[in-house]
Amino acid sequence: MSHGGSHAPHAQEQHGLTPRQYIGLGLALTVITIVELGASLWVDLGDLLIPVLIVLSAVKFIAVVAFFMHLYYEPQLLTRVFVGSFVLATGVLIALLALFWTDITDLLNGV
Amino acid sequence: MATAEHHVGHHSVTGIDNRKLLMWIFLGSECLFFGALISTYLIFKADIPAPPISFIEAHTHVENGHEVVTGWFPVDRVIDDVYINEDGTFREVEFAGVLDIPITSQSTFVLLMSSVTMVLAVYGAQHGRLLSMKVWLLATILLGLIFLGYQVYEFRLFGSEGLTLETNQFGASFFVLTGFHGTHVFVGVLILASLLLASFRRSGLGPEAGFHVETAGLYWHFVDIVWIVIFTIIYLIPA
Amino acid sequence: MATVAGTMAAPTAEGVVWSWLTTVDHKRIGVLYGVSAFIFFLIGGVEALLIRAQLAVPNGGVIDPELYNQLFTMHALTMIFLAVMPLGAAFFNFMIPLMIGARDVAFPRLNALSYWIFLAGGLVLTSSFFLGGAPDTGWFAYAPISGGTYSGSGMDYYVIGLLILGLSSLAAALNFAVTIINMRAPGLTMMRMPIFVWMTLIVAFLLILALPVLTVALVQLLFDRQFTTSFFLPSGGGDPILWQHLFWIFGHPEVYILILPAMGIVSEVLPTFSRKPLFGYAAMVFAGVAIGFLGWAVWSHHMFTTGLGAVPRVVFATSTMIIGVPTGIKIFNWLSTMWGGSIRFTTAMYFSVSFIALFTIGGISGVMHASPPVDQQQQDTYFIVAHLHYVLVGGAIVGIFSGLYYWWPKMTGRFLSETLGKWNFWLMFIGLNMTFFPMHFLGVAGMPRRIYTYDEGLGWEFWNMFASVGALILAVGVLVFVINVARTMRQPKTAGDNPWDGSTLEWATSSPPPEHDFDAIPEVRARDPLWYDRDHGLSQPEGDPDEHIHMPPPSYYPLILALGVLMLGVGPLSHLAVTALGVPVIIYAIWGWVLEPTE
Ligand code: HEM
Ligand SMILES: [Cu+2]
Repeated sequence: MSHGGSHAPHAQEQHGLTPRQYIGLGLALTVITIVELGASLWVDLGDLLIPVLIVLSAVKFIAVVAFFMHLYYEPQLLTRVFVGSFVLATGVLIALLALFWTDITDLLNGV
Repeated sequence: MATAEHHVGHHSVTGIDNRKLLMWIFLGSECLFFGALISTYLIFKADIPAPPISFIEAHTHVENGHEVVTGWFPVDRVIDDVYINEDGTFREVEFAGVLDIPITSQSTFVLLMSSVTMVLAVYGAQHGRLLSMKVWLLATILLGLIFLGYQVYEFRLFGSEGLTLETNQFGASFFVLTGFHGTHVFVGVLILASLLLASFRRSGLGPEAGFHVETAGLYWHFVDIVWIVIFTIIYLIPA
Repeated sequence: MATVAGTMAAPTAEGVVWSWLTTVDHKRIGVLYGVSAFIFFLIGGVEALLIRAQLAVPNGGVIDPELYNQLFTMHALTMIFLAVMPLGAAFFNFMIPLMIGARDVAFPRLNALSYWIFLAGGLVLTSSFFLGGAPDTGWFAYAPISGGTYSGSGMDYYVIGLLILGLSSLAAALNFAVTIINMRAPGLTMMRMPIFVWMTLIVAFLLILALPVLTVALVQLLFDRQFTTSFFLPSGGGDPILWQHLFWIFGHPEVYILILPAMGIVSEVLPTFSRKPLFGYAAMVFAGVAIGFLGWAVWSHHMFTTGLGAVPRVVFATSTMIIGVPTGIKIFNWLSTMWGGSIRFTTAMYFSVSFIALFTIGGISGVMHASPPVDQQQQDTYFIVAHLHYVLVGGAIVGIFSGLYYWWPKMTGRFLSETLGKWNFWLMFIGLNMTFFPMHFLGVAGMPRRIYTYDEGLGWEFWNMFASVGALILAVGVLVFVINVARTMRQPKTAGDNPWDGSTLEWATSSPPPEHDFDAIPEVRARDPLWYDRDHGLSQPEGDPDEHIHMPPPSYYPLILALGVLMLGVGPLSHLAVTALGVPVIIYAIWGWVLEPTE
């Protein structure tokens, strides 16, 4: 409220989905969640489980960011800022896990 | 406003409103925040195959009139499915995971729906539909509160089963990670409630209603996607 | 002339104080940052002198061992978080809006908030000396000595103080990122921005991305100390190495947070006093960005002796050596900027030129211990102390002094004395080299860092005494600066708009600048805009005398909000009731803030 004025919210064209589409997207995300539950609890995917779960939750993640958060319709700069930070966070996470999961014999051999 | 271009805070080279830009950059910062918490969780999970290091959760059988015992038992007293009592006697136990996935799936659903109501509130605000905005804001707040209720329930359940912050590394990293997420939800509820309250003022929410609801919505959705990640990592990916 | 305050009553003392407490003017906030940070710099300096006094002779007994541990810890914390970072922030605040041709930052009240929270954090950290002892674990607070078993309440002040300071830096960094991206004057494209602005932008993003990792580590440490978790305590199944990782994931970007502002300053000073545009502008920008990126991939070079394993050691050694490449690019560009220029040897220029040499020495020792086997010898010896002081004193502090001499006329309208300036420079230059160069020898001779005292006959006596004398000379140099300032501020304002013939926009307005910075928003037609105008017979737009320029009114809500944050923090250190009381204060301040008219 503090910065009234020049950017009237209705001035620029509103992009984005319609309410109906938002609800549809919400339902789709629910379905994906149920599929995830199924994959995790009811069927045995073996080694495929983790990749499948990661892909499914990535789809949910991207859908929320792109449409609920409008990032798809925003200037590229915002995408770069957010995706850049997310990639950095993921990279740090992967590096850390790799460091902690290094074979301990490496250490025992004194190298 | 005639002199508007001379006001500090209005000028924007990129065409992106300053406050929206700030919010997105801040969410980038939050990625690292939750990234570090999740890393901690995963590192300990790798170190210590769950159930975690020093305690193991089990439900004891009721057999021949023996009492039912459910709880966390020191892992070094457990061999296969047998728990050794202090006095050297032993009893059979059945191991159970501490996480109650059906319950958490419900709360996950609640948070997901709150994202839908949130985006509808933003839509209402942007299209000048004040009433629709208020209703959906209220719905979002309520869903947020329900989610928090689930979390309080889950925390207390774990507590009663003997899993606390100090039980082991799983307890510590689980409670700190989900606790910080819950705090974020709580802050989101406060922000949305403030916006809702403000929208009842005589001026409505002022001409910038859409803008403020939208920026708050960014935060809210972000908290939701963090939960998407947490749910997958803690609840769905098996030990 | 556009004015803001039409009828102003004669300022009363009370009115003056109130106006500073409620100011949202970026220049005043810059001054507040600068003055507070300089006071902390002096405090940190006194701590350093006490350390040097203790080490001057073998078996010294100037201070007792407990206090000694507190002093080297607080010296580092004070210099890093309360002196160098906020001195950088002082320049960001004062100069960035001027250099991008804006009238203020994007969020003036948030800016004030950053300052007040910084002050709160600084007071919490420093007050620990009088409230049960300062932190004493070294600035990186390795577990398990940072846990409750081995360290006292000082560590709680460390955790709370750094959390508060992190909040301040985060708010400031968000503000400056938005300001630089969004508030540039017409024509000032990214690739026309002064390098100092570029470096500020990179620092802002480093802070935004690195601070949350430190926050998480600190919160976990807080839980270990207060709520009986064992994140970092092996006795409870935790992992002390995890703390080291989290700390250095923040810590290495942090060293670039400390040095990049100084590199930015030097990149402004050298072209001005060589009367020549910066050599290799684009390479300079990309080297800065590359340092910002690579700074994330090297953190484990602080942990070569923790048994990382062969592969991680090779990876981190390589990435650390690679980061020397963009650093080298910068060094050669600075040298090439001076090459063939018509150089004016002002004090600012002295500092900038010596920056190149001193920073290079620190960079070279850095690349030396980028090699794990070499580092195995050097880790935790005075060699590391030599390295970090060459980059931090020879680099960051010398760069900041260069900036002070360079921009003083712009900030105050008065020139610092060049004669005293040269004394200032030579005393500091000689003093710091005498202090820190011998530390290389001491390190190689096996003297461990953070050692309380040492025996005779180890061959360390001479260089230790030498270094202590150097520290005194360095201190006299700083004192000369204080005298210079005190004398200068009694002189008349004789600096014109552009006394050095600088090329960037801050020189297009008066010295000191009016509250609204520019009568008319400047126009930028090329890199080095004022030189372009000069060479093409162009001029900057004139202000419209009748125009009413609306500046944001003062606000006391930032101060109140910072007070609330301080109360949140003091709670865990005293009584949780203080925290509980802080919550309503914060809510009150936020509501007042939001509803306050700013038009
Ligand atoms: C070419 C660039 C640089 C390289 C290759 C480099 C490399 C290193 C390495 C490998 C260490 C760890 C030594 C050890 O503890 O055994 C170290 C320590 C350190 N470096 Fe650098 N460095 C560079 C530049 C900088 C800069 C620009 C700064 C700050 C402005 C800096 C500040 C520090 C500090 C403070 C430490 C000591 C941290 C501590 O243990 O307390 N370095 N550096
Ligand atoms: Cu480093």
